Amino acid sequence: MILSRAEIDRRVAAGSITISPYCPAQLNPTSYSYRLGLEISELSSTDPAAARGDAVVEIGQAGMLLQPGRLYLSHTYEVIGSRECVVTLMGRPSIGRLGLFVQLSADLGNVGDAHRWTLELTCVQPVVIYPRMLIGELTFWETRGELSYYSGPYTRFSRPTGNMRELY
Amino acid sequence: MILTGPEIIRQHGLGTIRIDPFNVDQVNPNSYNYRLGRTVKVYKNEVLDPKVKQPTVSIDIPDDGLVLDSARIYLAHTEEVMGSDRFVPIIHGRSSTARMGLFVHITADLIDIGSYNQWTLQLHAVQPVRIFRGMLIGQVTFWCVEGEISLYAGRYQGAMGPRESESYRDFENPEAM
Repeated sequence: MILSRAEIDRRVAAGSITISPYCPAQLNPTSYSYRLGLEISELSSTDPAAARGDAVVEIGQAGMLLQPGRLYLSHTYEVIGSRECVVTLMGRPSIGRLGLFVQLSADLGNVGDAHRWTLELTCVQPVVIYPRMLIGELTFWETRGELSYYSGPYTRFSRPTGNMRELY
Repeated sequence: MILTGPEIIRQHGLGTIRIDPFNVDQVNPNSYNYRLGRTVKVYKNEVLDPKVKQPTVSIDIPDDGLVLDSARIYLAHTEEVMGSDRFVPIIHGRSSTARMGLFVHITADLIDIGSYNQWTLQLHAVQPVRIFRGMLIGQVTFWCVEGEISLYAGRYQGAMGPRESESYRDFENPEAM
């Protein structure tokens, strides 16, 4: 079951969903619109280990032009999480209509700790992004079964974070 | 909880799901196949700034199809008008469409409950790919909601044909940014 706007609002108030800062005006019928964070890094290497060292820069107030064929890692402005339901993350329709991906095929969060989520940005045509722009939506899903919590490497990070896994 | 095919047919019969035109042959075990409408829009500008209303050009898909260029975003639409006040629709490509490297949406798969439109599709081809109007291009699933429902009353309500991004409206209230 996907949570309705009223149910998301209720659970934020009850503390079982974390969205911080939280603004009720950003609630949609069954989702919450989140903002782009302040920092970004550009993937510079095809080597997963070397990519961990990519420089993180601030997105200027005048905007930053993203180029097609590149992958950028940014993050949500908000700290997001839930120890009760599953969060999925997607782009806003208005952003998708500009050809900007905010995640690449990995839209499912883990039940567990709250942090700023890393966004995987890539674009079809050159597109400008601005810090704190409304860029995506979160949905919240009920689970069935006993809960076990995420304790992986990404939960410690609240900045754009590249690959941490040994892939091979 | 996701609706099964028979439940989609039942809820369509009860009027809680609108799919117009509706064809039972397009029902799958837990989704409905929708068709590509006749019009596609492209942006005139190469560089897209979400703060600025972007001019577009409309193209009618010719009888012999339209080849999509991988360097552009194309806004297309479903032939069907779809929506529900009770279930949340989520759109997907069809597996056969995806196997051609064609995205039907760019990360935004959630349709708001209470939104009734020909839905705008965000087409992106990894390699050049030819599309035809009326082709079965994607699938929609319907999901149950937990909690009191409030319906969509947003900017794209009632849209017929593809609608370009209105992201510039998000920047109209500077205090909100």
